[in-house]
Amino acid sequence: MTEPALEHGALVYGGLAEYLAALVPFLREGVEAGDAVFAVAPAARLEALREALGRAGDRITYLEAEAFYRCPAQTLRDYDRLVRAHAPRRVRVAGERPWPAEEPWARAAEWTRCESLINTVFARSGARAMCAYDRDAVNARVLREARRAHLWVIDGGAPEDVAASGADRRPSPLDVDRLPFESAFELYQVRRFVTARASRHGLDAARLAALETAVTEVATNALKHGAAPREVRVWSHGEEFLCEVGDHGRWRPGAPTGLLPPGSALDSGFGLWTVRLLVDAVRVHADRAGTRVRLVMRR
Amino acid sequence: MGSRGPLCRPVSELKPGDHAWLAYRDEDERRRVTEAFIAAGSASGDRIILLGDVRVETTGEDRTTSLPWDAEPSALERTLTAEVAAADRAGRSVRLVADLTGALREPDGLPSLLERERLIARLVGAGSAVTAICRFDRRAGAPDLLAAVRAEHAMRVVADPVLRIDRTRDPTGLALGGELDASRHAELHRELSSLLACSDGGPVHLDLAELEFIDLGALGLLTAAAARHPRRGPLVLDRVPERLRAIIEAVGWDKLPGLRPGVPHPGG
Repeated sequence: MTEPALEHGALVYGGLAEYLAALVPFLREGVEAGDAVFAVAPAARLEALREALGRAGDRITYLEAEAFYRCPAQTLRDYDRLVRAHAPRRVRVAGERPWPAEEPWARAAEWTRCESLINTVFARSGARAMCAYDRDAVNARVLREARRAHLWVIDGGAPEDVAASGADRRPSPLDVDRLPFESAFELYQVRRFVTARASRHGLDAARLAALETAVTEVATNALKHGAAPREVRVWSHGEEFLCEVGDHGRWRPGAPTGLLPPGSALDSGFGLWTVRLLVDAVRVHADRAGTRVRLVMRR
Repeated sequence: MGSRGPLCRPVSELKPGDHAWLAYRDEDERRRVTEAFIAAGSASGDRIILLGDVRVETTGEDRTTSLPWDAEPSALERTLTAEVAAADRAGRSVRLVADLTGALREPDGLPSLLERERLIARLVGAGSAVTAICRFDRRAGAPDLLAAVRAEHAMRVVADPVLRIDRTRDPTGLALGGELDASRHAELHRELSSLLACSDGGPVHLDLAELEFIDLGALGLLTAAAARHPRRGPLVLDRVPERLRAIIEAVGWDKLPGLRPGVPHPGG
């Protein structure tokens, strides 16, 4: 890749412990990598971060959210200044806008739009941003928009904004076929397991070959980067055939999301990028229990 | 890869002293593992012992012994020990396949099943050249029952992934057949490196006519091999089957610098 891509993720958390469990490693990793690191949050959160980070926190700039998130245009300008002022160092930001409960939707929408704009404006900045959303304080519509605007979402709890598509639903356990796997020698069994069921769902030969390639890639990633136990689960929902690879490893913020085209097969992110081309949809879901990558194929 | 998980070996890599577990999901898996195990034993003149409901076709029928799984344990142990001792004197290794699915189905069958498992473990661990596979029909036992039996085994056995790699002369290159995924990357890497090390600088051809599956990691591996040898000409992919071609074209040849499409697959 010629220029480094933006990694813009969301954290949906419930309670201070979940908040710190995700953000402290994210910020500490930035300090260790020599990034210019910023934490923008309501005052009480900043205090908790400062305390949890200890000495690593000395090299972080803390900004009060109430002042930073006054108006979207100013916030975008300030982000732009941060990125330019520190170039060529990489900027890493943990941000959280307070979402007042009584705020009218039109006002909130200006900020959800701002999240989408960040993807365009800073696409080639190499910056890493994690935007935190308090599940208990933010309304469902804002959360839904947040899930759309970010390249990845870490969600410590159950998704409450179940969308119309079966792709976002949790299946009932009774409808799910599962196959545990533990080594690369079992990848062929993972393929057989998935294609036999996808074929019964009515996918044609070309789509089966695409799914077989995609699930092998995702399962291989789970072996390389994830932790045991690992398993593949399949089920169907109407027209959709769903295939999910789960492991118990910690999702690494900043791992390739595969949304931006790689320069070549030699770049990291090539695998997941290709997976996204081969199937109809990919959902990455991570929480403290592990990582699930869900592949969706429509008949 | 997966080194932290329980040990898992493809059947061709089992060695004397291994006491492996196979909980097969279907007849195909059962057959692939058992046949490969017995065939390797027949080829090297091993003594073969079948315990329980194991039917196999062997060439050397005289070297095969079949025993019922529900034989009385102490009698079973005597018989097995004598078989191993006889094989040992004749300078032969022993391969044991036990199918104890019948015991799984018995009410309260677990204690007697574990007794037989420990008997086999003693036999394998006694120092003679004994390799054992204990196989179970996964569908026949409750998960906790299967887990209890599995715990008696140090490793799991799986069928061999099939990848064939042959050198070709005219044109210079490799012919690949079967399935290529992460379990075989190291092997391909080795073959390709040694081929490229002695190539004369012309293009190297990979004949993929018999290849049924290629993973994305292997496409990256081929691209990396081409990149390491900039003056040695491209890697030409010949006779790429339709289903593989569709995947490569979804990726785009431009993402695979140094790889070129060669002659088409005869099937179209």
